[in-house]
Amino acid sequence: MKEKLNAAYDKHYRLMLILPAILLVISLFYISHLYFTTGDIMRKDVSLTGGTTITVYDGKVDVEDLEKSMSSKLVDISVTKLSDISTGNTIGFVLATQSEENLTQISLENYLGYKLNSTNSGVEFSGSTLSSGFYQQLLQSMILAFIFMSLVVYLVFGTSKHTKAFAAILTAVAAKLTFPSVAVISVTAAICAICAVVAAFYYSKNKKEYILCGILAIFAIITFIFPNYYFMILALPTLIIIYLVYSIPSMAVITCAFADIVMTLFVVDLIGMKVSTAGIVAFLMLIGYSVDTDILLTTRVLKMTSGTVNARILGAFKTGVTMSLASFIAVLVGYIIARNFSDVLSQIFLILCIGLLLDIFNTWVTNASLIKWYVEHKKGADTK
Amino acid sequence: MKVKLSWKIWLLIIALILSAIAIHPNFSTEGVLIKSVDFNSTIANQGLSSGEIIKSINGYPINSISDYSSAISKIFINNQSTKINFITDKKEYIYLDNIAPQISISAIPRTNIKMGLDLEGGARALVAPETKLTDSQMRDLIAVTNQRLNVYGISDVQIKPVTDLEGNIFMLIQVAGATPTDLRELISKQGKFEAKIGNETVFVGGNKDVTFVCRDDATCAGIESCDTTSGGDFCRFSFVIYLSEAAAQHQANVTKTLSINASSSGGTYLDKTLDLYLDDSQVSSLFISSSLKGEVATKIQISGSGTGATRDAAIKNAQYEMNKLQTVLITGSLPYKLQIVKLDTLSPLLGQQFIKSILMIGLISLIAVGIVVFVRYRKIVSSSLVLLTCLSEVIIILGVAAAINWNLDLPSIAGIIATIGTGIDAQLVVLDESRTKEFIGIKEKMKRAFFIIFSSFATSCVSMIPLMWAGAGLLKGFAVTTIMGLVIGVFITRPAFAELIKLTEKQE
Repeated sequence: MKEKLNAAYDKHYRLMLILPAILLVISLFYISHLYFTTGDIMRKDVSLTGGTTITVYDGKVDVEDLEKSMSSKLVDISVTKLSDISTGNTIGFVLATQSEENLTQISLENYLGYKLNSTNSGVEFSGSTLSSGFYQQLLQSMILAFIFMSLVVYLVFGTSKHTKAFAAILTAVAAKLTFPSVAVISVTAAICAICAVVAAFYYSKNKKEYILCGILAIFAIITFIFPNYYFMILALPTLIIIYLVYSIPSMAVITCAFADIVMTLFVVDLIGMKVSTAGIVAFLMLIGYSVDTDILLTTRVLKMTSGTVNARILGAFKTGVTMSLASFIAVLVGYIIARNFSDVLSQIFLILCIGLLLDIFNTWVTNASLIKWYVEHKKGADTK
Repeated sequence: MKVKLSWKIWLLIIALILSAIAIHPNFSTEGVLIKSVDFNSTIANQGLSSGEIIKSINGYPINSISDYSSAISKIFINNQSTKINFITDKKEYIYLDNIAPQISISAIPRTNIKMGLDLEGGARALVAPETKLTDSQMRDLIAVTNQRLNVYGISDVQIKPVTDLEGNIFMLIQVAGATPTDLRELISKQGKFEAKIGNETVFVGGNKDVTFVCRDDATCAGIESCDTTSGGDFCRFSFVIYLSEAAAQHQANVTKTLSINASSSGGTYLDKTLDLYLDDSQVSSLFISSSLKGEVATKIQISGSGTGATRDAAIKNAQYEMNKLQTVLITGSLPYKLQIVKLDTLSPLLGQQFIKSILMIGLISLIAVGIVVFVRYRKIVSSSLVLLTCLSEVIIILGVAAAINWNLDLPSIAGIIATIGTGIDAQLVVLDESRTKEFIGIKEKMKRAFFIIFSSFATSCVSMIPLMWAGAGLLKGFAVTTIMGLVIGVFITRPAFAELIKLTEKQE
């Protein structure tokens, strides 16, 4: 039985890659469709569009009636109930709208028939310019976080030293482009870039590599003097090419993390969730979570000396699935409880739930197949 | 051999003890904590400062906020001067006064862990100047705003500059406790006060022109009279201010050129009025007595009015307007035009609920994880070690947070949850590596486990760095607690856990 399964896996593992590929294409298609129809890759809540959120501690209000009668006065309104965690009783509601704070407060006071103050309610207001600025910055932070993560993965699993230095130069450039005016980052990025350039020259062996070093050093100098975010268009593809050409295992890990984020975003968009600042934080968290199991798998397959590739994958699978399940159950419990009282926490937990499930799929289908393919191919090339 | 191996475990134990000291759980119920002392009050001049704990007043023992208020109401009856004997944990204060001490108090916190505004209640405003400011200009702005809020009587304020990714500078104002109703007005209005005669500005707010403003003193400031009109009630207030020599001289030069008019009521006045403007809108217009023509007068009476539907409302409104005018006269105008880009008022009610719920999430999640781990390994010792390690990680994070005075807000708590998630992952890696059937020593296995753990640690850490700056630092708490937790995990709790696992493996 075990042997049959092994043989079947050996035969079909490459075919299994079709599944994640199809899902990734659908996700990317759906997200770009959303982008072309709404102008954004996700639906945003008031913390990212700007607007007002009022929390009122009054359990007796009919939430549906409130939403109906307020929707004519306020822009893009949504109302959710709050309940006490131990008794389950409704203790209040949260009203979110893109309208201004004053208008919202007055309309709500008129509906309720009493004044809102700091003991019976809480008000949060964000201006739209600030919020759209936040949104831009959070997206850029996410891209940068992803670039940082990729570099670490490449430093861990890559094999050629001079290209590691190349990747470090480009990552420092990306940091500078994302945070052009934060002094700490600029200085740190500059020091890292200089060290990386020195290392790149030190590890280069032939003329071609020296020329590449020179080009990268000049590129880094230009971007540090004129930090225009559009330079990312040059830096990013170069990084991807380096990872792809010099370390397939690293690229496999990075691809899986990318697929995790994109597929999670697809599901989030599909269920119509309005993403808040906290939601974007959850995506950032997901970058860290999703590479954990990928690193485990890659280390076990590449660094273990005993057992067949399949046995190593299976061993890693047992550990990895326990890891993901433990995290998944913890965040699921968090979601079920937080749903009653905090939009912020419940959104973080829900996005993590979705992401962790998709990560199980991506690690053990996408990454496992890719790494097996790589090892088998290398073995074939070595024996030849 | 055993002792030599377990220095990592000792490190964990020491870290736990230090954390417990930093968190400093407090079980005593004696006294109340002084949160702030009003600037320039009698008790402040006696040397009382915030942070002291009141033990008793005039012999009444103080163990709760209600003890304090009942003692105060017994001591201060009909504004008579009373001898006060104030005993705190530091000193004894004895002085005479006719009003209750101008301090704000709170119950003694149970631990040293500080909660953020979103859990404790309060107000938070992010204010953007209309023009881009340099660092020193921002410092000026913060100083003036701070003074204004203090003069207005809002204590427990924290103001600091924050910068976002694009290099925009904001002023972040955080007020703990109950939210003042007019916070928006206080911080967004520039508070430019001008007194004009005709088109000539004679003096402006701030201590250059105005040397003294009378307030809280019934002999030179207060409500003068009230009238009922068809539209509601109407009250007049007035207070005395003193001008600097230079401003008084300037006023004399302007009044010298005016001519004298006789008014219908019989008095004689100058032909132009002294008009008071606040942020370019006129708040009051005063007749100038003819006797002041060309006189260098430093003492000036400022008056204005408040209205309301009832007499009480009118008096309240007049007091409010008077306080506003006094504040800008004392502090002068803010140096720059400001715009409030974010304003949150958070009720303390929700905070209680939050903390309760978060503790519950933590507990149930931990139990759920414990069940998963037990089902997988069927070993009660290793499974409980996993849970114990998680728990000690949380305790050390809280300890560090208390030691560095970090305010735990909602994002920080989300960060702690994130750390526990990765913490469990890492421990499972250790457990599984120790159980692989390879013929290499446990040391080699642990080495490989830590290779995986360090790689994961590095990726998670670097992906948090951008969040330290994005969004004007409002999500910084998340990044800080996550990185803190990861560092503690990698350098303290996980090595100790690996050591413990080695010990249990050996025993088997």
